[in-house]
Amino acid sequence: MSKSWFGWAGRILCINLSTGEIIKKPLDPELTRKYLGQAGINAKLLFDLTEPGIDPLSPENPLIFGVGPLGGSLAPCSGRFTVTSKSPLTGIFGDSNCGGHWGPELKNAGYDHIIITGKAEQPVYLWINDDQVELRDARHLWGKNTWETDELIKTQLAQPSAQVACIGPAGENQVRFAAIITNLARAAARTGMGAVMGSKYLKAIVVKGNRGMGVASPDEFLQTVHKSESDIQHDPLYEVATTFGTTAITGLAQMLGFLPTRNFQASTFEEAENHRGEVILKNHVTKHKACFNCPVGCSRFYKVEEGEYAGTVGEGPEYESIAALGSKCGNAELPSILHANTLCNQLGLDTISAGNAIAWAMEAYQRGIIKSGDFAGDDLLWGDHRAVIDTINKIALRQGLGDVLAEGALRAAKKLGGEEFVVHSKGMDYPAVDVRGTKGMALAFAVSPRGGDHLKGLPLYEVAPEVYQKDIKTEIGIDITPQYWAEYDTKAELIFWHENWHCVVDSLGLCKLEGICIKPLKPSHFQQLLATATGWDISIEELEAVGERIWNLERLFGVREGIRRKDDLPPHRLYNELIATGPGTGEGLDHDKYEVMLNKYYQLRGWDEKTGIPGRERMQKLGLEKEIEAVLSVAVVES
Amino acid sequence: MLIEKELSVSIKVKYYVLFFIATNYCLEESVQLGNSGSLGELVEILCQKYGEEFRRSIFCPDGSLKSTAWFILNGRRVGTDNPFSVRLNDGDEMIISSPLLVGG
Repeated sequence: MSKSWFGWAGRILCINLSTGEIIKKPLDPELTRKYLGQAGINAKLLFDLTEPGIDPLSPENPLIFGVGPLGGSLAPCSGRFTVTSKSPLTGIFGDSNCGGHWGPELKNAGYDHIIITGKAEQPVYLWINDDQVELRDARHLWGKNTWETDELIKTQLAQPSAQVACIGPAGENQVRFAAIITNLARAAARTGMGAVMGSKYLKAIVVKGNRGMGVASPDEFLQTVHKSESDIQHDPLYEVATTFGTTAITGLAQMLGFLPTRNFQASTFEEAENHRGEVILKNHVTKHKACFNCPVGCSRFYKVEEGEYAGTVGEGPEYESIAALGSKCGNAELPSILHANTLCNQLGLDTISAGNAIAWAMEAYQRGIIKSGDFAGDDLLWGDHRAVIDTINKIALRQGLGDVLAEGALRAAKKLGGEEFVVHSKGMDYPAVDVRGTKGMALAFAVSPRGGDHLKGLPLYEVAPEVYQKDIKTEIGIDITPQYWAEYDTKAELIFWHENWHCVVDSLGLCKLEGICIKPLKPSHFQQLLATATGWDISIEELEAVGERIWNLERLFGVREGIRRKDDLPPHRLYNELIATGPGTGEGLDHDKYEVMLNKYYQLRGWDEKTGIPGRERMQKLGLEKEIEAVLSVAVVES
Repeated sequence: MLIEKELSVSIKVKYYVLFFIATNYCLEESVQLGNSGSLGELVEILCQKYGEEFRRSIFCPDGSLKSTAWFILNGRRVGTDNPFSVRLNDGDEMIISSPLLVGG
């Protein structure tokens, strides 16, 4: 470990798979000041290393791993890492954030980032053991699922505590929403990073680190850590998070009427009672589980004891997976959802995009676009849990209809028809919130730089504003009302603030479940943790400006690829149809009000209202002069 | 002569999230109310049945309603302005829940 670095390890590992070259480069301090680390520096590296228009599955597309300055430290919830690349699903900026223990291990091995370029001639895996770094033959692992791969590698290296990030058959077959899996069930799932890894013949990255990390002011840092932990544990919803994790949402989503059902045709599911987190806890949870240095432990191990899926074990599932593989497909059978979740982790698939693709296919079948016999054995009836399981396998192995769906729901629809009911933005499938009732989320999901997504700027307490109304007032200056979620006013400001701080949290290396800015860790926590860990003199305002810079860089990447204002609208179904069931019946998105909200958002961001292209003046102010000029030199500015 | 007829109000109560824990893992049950048939009466019956942990899940130490205690009557959230006077009718469904996280 370089003594000049606190927080960061101070090194970037560069692997050229085409040549086999392995280089360790020093981390540029200026890069850390502008982009912090992890997601932020990853984004900058990707922007600089790619030309517009490259094929995401070509050797020209780099795959970048990063861990933040607080990653692997004693800071609570510091087990995250980010994988970044041009997305094969969307063709724009792609990244995915993951928990577990892999990220801290990378920091312990003495690296902040890994840049993978080129393509190997045959399957390999990367073995990092502190300063010893080598590429190893992985032909014997090709075709193995992620659980088999994890075990085989650890056994063969005789390193049971090494951390493995690997792909399964889905990544090998370049399914455009393939995930990278660590610790058997923690997934860098969104935007198809596993497909990029598969396109490079890279089966796994295995890390063992013994170097540790340093902090600048140990006593002050520890004090801040203790205060942060205490604030987490005294949060009003701490017990909810630690007992149920995100599974608590299922019943509430049904109750409030935002549970996407049958590909978003309905917003309540008649069998949702069976999917509640309470039912999972009572019948299936065997043990609670935490990621690295997490005082919450929101995850859970599960087991199915009886019936057709008896013997299924796994971790999770998160609310998103329950809904994607359950209500979105009309699937009432909870054990099958647990089984499907395990299967996605083993095969290396994003549960959200997998569920959405299957749900889209079921609606295409309902509407006669896909007919019985078009693809052998693919009768896709709503609620057929065996069809869900079967289709997951076929997607990962690219068999029959699975080969079409492996391209993602949007590409499948372009090929077969039914594009109007693909629920996506910028090509990425929507998470499990019917945003017609929550106007802020409608904006947040639509403008996300990686496509339809809840993890880039989620205004978490839009739906429970009174719990945190003091915080929202203090931090953002917004006065909220009991029906705040249904309002359009002030949502642009709410989203702007959340997006900036999401970027900060993702770049520091913390988990957003606790560090999602308005609960329970706040900007002051992030500033103090960073300052005491690194020795930096940095204000909260400067930190938010870093978040704003990162957000704009991710946007610029998309603009360079052709993203414009039209891409910031909600999906056709959610924008043009009204909610048909449940408490929100009749609710919809008012086009005029949405456009006004979007205009306000563009004004706050300093983006051109007609095109959605970031303005030169604001980009210069953010230190993105080179980047905006590079984008404008290739962008055809619409009149 | 006016004959007072005693009301018999049966409410289906579902317990979500923390209230599921506070009721020792009860998913749902039927609760009989007496004369008043109000939300206040229902809460008092439940506090007596499930004890202090349940009461602390509903009320702050000063007796005010916690912001993390939500009542959803027949699919509609009960407002926070004097909620305990809300009248309940035979066959109503009441969900008692904490607010939600979104994510995963």
